[in-house]
Amino acid sequence: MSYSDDLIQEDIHAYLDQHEHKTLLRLLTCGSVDDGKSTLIGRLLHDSKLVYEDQLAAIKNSHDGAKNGEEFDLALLVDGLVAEREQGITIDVAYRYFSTSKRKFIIADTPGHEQYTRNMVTGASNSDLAIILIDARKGLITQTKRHSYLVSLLGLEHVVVAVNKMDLVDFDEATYEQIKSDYTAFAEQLNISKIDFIPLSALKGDNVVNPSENMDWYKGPALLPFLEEVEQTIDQVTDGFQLPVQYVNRPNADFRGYCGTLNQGSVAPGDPVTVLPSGLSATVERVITADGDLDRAYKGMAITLTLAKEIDISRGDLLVHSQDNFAITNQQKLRSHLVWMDQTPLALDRDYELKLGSRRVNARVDIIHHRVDINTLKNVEADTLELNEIGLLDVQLDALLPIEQFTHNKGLGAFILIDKITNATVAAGMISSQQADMVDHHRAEFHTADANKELEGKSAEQIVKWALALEGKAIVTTNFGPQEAVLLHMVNQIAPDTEVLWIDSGYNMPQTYKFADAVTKHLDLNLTVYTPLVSAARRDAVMGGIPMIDDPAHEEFSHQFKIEPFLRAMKETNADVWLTAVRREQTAVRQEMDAVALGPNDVIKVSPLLDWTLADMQYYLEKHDLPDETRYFDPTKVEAGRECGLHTLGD
Amino acid sequence: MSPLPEHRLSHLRQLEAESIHIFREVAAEFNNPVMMYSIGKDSSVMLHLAKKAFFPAVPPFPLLHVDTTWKFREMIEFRDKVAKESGMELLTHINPEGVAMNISPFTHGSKVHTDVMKTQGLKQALDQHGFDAAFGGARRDEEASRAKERIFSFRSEKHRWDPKNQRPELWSLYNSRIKKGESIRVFPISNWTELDIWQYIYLEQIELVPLYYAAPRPVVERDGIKIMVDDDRMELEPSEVPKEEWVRFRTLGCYPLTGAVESRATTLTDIIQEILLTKTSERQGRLIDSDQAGSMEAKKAEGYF
Repeated sequence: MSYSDDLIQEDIHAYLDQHEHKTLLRLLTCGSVDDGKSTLIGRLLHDSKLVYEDQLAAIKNSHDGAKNGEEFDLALLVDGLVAEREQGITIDVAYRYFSTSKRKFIIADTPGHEQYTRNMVTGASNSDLAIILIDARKGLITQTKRHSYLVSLLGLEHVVVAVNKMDLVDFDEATYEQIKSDYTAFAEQLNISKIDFIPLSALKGDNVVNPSENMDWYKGPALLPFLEEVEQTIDQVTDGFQLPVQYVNRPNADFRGYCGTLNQGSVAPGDPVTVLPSGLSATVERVITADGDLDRAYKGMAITLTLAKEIDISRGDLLVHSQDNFAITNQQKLRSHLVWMDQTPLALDRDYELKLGSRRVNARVDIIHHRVDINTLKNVEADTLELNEIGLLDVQLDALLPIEQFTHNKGLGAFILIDKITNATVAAGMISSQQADMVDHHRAEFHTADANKELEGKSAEQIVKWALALEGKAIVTTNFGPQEAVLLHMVNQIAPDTEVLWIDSGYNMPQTYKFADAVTKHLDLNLTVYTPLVSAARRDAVMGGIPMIDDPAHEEFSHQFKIEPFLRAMKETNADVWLTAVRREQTAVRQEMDAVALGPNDVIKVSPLLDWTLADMQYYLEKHDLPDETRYFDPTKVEAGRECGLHTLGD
Repeated sequence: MSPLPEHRLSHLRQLEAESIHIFREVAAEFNNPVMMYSIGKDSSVMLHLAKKAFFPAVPPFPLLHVDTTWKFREMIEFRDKVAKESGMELLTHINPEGVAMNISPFTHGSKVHTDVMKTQGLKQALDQHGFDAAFGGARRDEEASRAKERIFSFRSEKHRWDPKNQRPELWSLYNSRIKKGESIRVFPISNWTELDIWQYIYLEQIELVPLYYAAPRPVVERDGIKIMVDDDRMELEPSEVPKEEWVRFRTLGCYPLTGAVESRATTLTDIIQEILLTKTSERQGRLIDSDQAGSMEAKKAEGYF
């Protein structure tokens, strides 16, 4: 262990070098005093030689230090404030530190009494891993389930179940195996990706730091060696990057740096950046730290970026890699689990301040879907949340906020609510879904097979009418290609206000732009144009223009110029129903399509013209005296009969 | 041990990033922050981190030193030099009431001296300048009452700390909302241990007050503690004859209240080696902790850092 390492005496430089390369693991211990939690922490500190003689002497001298017979009480090493010592309880989260030659550990120690939810959630929010203690004599109890649920809710991916007090069950393997299988069965309903089990005795020291001689049937590592080696998610580098702008550093007119801690991926000079929620873009010029500029910075680093051009960016904005942009949505509404932490219950008729990353907005709870009974894990009806209660709610914001699901990205999925009058932190939130997914409940009841059956033999006009009568928002997409006026006209006859989305690649022919203008005027369309985040001119100048169809870069190109803007358009318009003018005879893929299907984010995709032929289309145009333009170029298709990928997107 | 892959931050770099994040958060969210600068090693690390957080700019807040008039002379010299080099404004405050009452640790004892010159002096300075946030170099591993301290620690208008009424602190989302007159004490190095501090000083070659290094110094032994005779205000008993001894200080404060330890550690690595092999905790050299049971907690509640 570090403090008794011979290396300190022999070669302090080698020792310091070794410790310079240690990693950090933050862990949470869950259990009550009865489970031996404080004893376990005391044991870790004591056996890794981190307790000074004066601290030990103070405990040995205290009157209750010897309450466990001859052995002094290791739990007293982790004792806290006078106020709580008097009450005989711990009142909060306490942080303990110890390290070995391989790792530094920070333990968030939270109590097991009635304030457990608030405290455990606080401790868990900054932990990588949880140790859940189970008393071998008692097995799984309600508290174990409660703790496990909270750990899962807070997104901790790794749990170590420490089956403690094995000495009191004679180190019996069968007892341990029973607990292990009980827990495994229980944990199936939770969202914990990795669970390990270790039988131990904190009091006697079995399998804590050193392997137990009393349990030779257990072949795994003792707790501390296990913690020293356990893999962390920070070991994985993800694509793209996200930098919440924390502070704009402007010492003089010549320097404008955007400071923040990278919460995803990695960033390098030259990377294209999009600012959310504004959508402005630029290129990274320098990645600055006080120790010199970096060629690349990684997740967790506190850095300063400068950009190649000056754009409007302030604290609270989010800088992301331009190609990743579509994964994040700007939302004004979110659904979230909320843990209530204040004496005053949640009020539905008032604004709270919501802080997410470096952004603060006003938030109001709309709907409480249910409260989770933490003892039974069942959903129950609720019209408020009280201290230590957890619920699933919809929250309305007064501004757009870039968010992600908490389980995908804690940086954009975790928030706190602050009472604007008392200034207390009243709740912790974990976003469970984005608004685009939030209409799921009525869509879940929608069966495409039934719909297709119902529409069999119906005319295109009847299908359009049916689609526009569905619950939710309907939109129609167009590319202003040949015969595109047909569906636009048909929709316009029934609901002239329907939003029309055009994904303009920027590579269209002049004729197409003129045609778009003419149709828009002719039908008085409610048109919204979406363009790629990269302009055609820029693509041509520095990114190699339009790649050939067999070029591997073609896929990326399609994504940049068609798929990404399309997905963005669908998310931002938050459509429930999508009307499109595809026809079976156009491509092989379309041969197999149904008139009604589910598109991205479960949007109901309706193709009223699926069975129309080119002649049908031309007839309709003539009959209604509609403009047309047959010259058309789609840069993502290159050859006729090829799919760009938009109609093959899964749901 | 092999070096870590490029993307993997060592424990020290993770702690460094966390501290920088805290500095920037405060600079962005408060109107009038200040850094409590106590001249010791923890303050030196804190200042170093602040400079990193705002590089290439100078940290956008002043330094504040609450002077008790009983600091080691070398500390004051070092303070003035470091402040000048940093380009930051240095504010110093001495409690005028304490000076008028001629408060001295020798005649009034450590408890009264600390209360008047440090705790009351600090409150005066914070009120006088209207600071809404004050950085302090406290660490959670120092003492039991600190283990539960928040990174953003809320203080009432009267600067009181209520351990039962602190805001829950989740993820790295700090609540900076306060009413007029209230303030937040901010502890950017909360998660650093004593060893982390020393390791970082070594790694970053941070300059320290020479008193941390062993040298022959005039000391007398009083109540089992070696006190350095730093000036002639120390009235010596007839039996007390200052002796030149090789000593150094593990913590720095008012010289009459700070015990020296025998040492030959003249380099940083000597010091680290000595600390690692030592068997008593750091604060034992400080007289203020052992005044009364739970004394640090009581002082904190009253407004001491």
